[in-house]
Amino acid sequence: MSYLGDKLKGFFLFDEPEKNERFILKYPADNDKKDNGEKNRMEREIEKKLAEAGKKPEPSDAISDDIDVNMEFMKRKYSVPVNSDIVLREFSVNYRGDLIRAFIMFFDGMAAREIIDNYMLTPLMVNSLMNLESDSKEGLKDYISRQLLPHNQIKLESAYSKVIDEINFGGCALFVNGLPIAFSADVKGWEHRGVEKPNIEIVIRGPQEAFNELLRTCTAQVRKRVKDENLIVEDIIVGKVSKTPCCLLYIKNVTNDGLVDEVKRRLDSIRVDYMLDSGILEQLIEDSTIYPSPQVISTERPDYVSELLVAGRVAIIVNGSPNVLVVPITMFDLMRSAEDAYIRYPYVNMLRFIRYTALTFALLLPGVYLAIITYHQEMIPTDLLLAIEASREKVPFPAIIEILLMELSFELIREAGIRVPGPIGPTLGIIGALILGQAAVAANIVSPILIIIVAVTGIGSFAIPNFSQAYSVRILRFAFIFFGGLAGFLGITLGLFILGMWSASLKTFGVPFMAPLGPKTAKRFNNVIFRAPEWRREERPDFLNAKKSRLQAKHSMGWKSRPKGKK
Amino acid sequence: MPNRIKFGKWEAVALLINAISTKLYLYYPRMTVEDAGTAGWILSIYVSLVTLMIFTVLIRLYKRFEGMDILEVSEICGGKVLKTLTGLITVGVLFYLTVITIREFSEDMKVISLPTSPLSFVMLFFIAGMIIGGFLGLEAIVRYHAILVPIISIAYILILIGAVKLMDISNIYPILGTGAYDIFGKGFFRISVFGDILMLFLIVPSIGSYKNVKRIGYTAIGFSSVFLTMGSLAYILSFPYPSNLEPFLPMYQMTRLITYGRFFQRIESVFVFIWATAALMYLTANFYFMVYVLSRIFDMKYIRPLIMPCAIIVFSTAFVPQNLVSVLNIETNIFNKLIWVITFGYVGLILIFANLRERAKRRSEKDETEA
Repeated sequence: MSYLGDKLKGFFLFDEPEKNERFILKYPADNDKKDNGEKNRMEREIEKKLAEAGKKPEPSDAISDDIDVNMEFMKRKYSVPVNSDIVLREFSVNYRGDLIRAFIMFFDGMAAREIIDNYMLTPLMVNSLMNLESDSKEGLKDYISRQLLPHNQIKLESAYSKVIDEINFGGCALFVNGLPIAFSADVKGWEHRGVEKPNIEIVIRGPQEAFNELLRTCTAQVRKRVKDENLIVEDIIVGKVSKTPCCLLYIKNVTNDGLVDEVKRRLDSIRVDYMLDSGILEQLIEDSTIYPSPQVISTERPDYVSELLVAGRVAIIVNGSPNVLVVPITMFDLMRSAEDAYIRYPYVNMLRFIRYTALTFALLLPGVYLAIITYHQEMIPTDLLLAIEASREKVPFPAIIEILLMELSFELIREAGIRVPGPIGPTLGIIGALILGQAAVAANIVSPILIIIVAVTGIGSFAIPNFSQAYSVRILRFAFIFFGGLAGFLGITLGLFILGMWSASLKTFGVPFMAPLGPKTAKRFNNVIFRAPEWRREERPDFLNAKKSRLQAKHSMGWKSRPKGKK
Repeated sequence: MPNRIKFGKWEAVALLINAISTKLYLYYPRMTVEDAGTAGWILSIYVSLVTLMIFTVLIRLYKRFEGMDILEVSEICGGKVLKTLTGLITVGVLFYLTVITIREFSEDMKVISLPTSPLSFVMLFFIAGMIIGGFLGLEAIVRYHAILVPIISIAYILILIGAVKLMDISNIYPILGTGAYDIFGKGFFRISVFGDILMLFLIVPSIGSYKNVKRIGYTAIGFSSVFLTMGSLAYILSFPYPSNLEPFLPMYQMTRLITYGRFFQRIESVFVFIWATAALMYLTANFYFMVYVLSRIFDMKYIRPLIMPCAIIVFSTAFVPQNLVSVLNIETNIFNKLIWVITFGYVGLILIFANLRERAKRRSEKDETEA
């Protein structure tokens, strides 16, 4: 509320605005050319990562070569033995006839026990007795990592913080006496869902796979579709305490470098302790927190993410969240469904028309009905007017109360329908139908025509493909009821004007929210409100300023063009 | 412009088309009939052609000042004093246009849609739109224009198509209406209708090159001329001459008679949407430029502190005329005959003097280098 209060105060009192630099998505510089001696973005990133990897830890964070010091540190860090799910297993490794003390540490339930037993403990405790090292000149560190740990992902860490991060994310750490490093093995093995069918974004035509909560499964799902070595998956950690692993996906020779940098900048700059889901991340990276519509696409479909990546966008996967975020978007993307790409364009266009009609109904129908009933009765043909008036004759409330009552009841049933336990669900449907339908009319609390209005509005909001957008429409509907009740069509016009101007002023990751119509950009009618045939979708959206604007050949249906030389 | 916002050609054209053509919904068709009788449409064409010619002269004079708005050109010409004077005159014109238009729209809206609501209540809706538009800035205003102007234009054309069955060719006779002198002599002063082209000279820094400015100007005048002439012609054809002189909302009167079958008989309420949207867009743009020029005069860094005070002044001043008739009288008989003196005459003079000054400056520089 204080935020709203500040906004309202800003209308009347002037404070010099903070100097925030607004991100502008510029045309891509020709970064891949090295004529000027400058490195391109990817080379800079590789150098940065290598420098980070080679950085020596702070003295307080450096692992000791004394196993007792290390064990004491780790025990204190993990509150052993209070913490019941942390496992600390001590054992000895045979090296050149000496038994060297060692211990492993992992979280029970998060790490795969079988892998630890078979590929870590067995080689270290049993195979080491075979004296495999006798002919080799390797030191203990190399001996363990090269000969005793046959696991596919072993990292050598010299800082406690890194080891702790690995253990927290389902890894297993191995400390050996005399070595100022720890081995960390990626042995994640927690229980998780498999790849299942999408729950929300259901399609009839197209793949039936959804993301799940595993980061690597999600990245693999995209990679198996895009199949391009230029698809980059960059790791980013968000959350000071939770250290939630996130991945940034983009196609390096397509996506604008400025856009990738901006997404990374926003993610890096987030200062929260816990970031547990992509829903939280979405709220932390969006441009306007008060604007009703979502400014990020959140999808559970890998095929849709792949399609958006190919267009030149950036995807963000959050570990533990089955919803992947894609930026930047425009208002028109919120009315698209993943299925749109898979079905023939006449069908898509019919569906799009229906969706936009549904949006109009869901947003404006109750407000317009109220405006007509209250201020513009002359607009209704006489027969219809008589029918409406006859049905409203016995209703004791003014039209605005009648609408608010019904809309509120509808929202109540909708919310209760989500919260109610499964077996009681049908009962709620019956109660809802009775209250909303028959009983309210029979008791002369509402008119039958209003039942139709509310029902059509409700169905309209269900036809909006983006779940978050449907929420925003539900909120805005009440605003339009208010405007319609206040001044009829003039009020609704003002409401639309405010919403339109607000949308026009908004940018998401440097892309105007109303693009490609306002501002007008090239090829704007290819896939905005209506979709062009597949063979006409030759260019990527202009407003994304992608490195490669062409998406497919001018004559993509090669079989139609006549081979050269043939008449 | 604040931080020199850049926008495209279409955005600028849409802004100007709406600014010039909004008069269609208010008084323009009736005004042409009052001036030239049944030859109002010829007057409309004549005025458009004269405007195009004057614009050609102005834009030629502008060639040397690529990327500068009229205030910067004034500064070159006569220093800070002339810049301030130009600014004040511009603010005056925009203020007048905003006040008159808001009063007129509010009065008309009250009559056709909200008869029981007080005028101040109706006016508040337009004021609210202006304030919000001012806060959201020029970028939002032009983008909104870019989206809505095509929709409004299509709706307008549909209205004209709907009115075709009302049209009677005999209403156009006599072809020359009240006479050639009324059309080509007195009619000249009606170039004031295109006075909103003044906005073009304020947005120059945002649209870049001279070539763009030129193209935008011609396109906006061209489209507006077509819309104005079509409106005037349709109005003249739809009603007999005596009815054409009715002093109330000509386009609205036309839409009232449009019917599509037995069910769609009263589409004028839908017209309210188009009409109020166009009005809100026009008023917001006018108001924004008024506040913007004011901030430039005072060398203010931000325009926001000026928005609320200016809105209150506009709101209060809009109540000064006694009634709708006096508003219409001021509009059609006084300002619409005189405003061209500023929008074309004064701007032209500034450009001529600025050119002379530049030429003299260059000559003296040349002499110095030769010496």
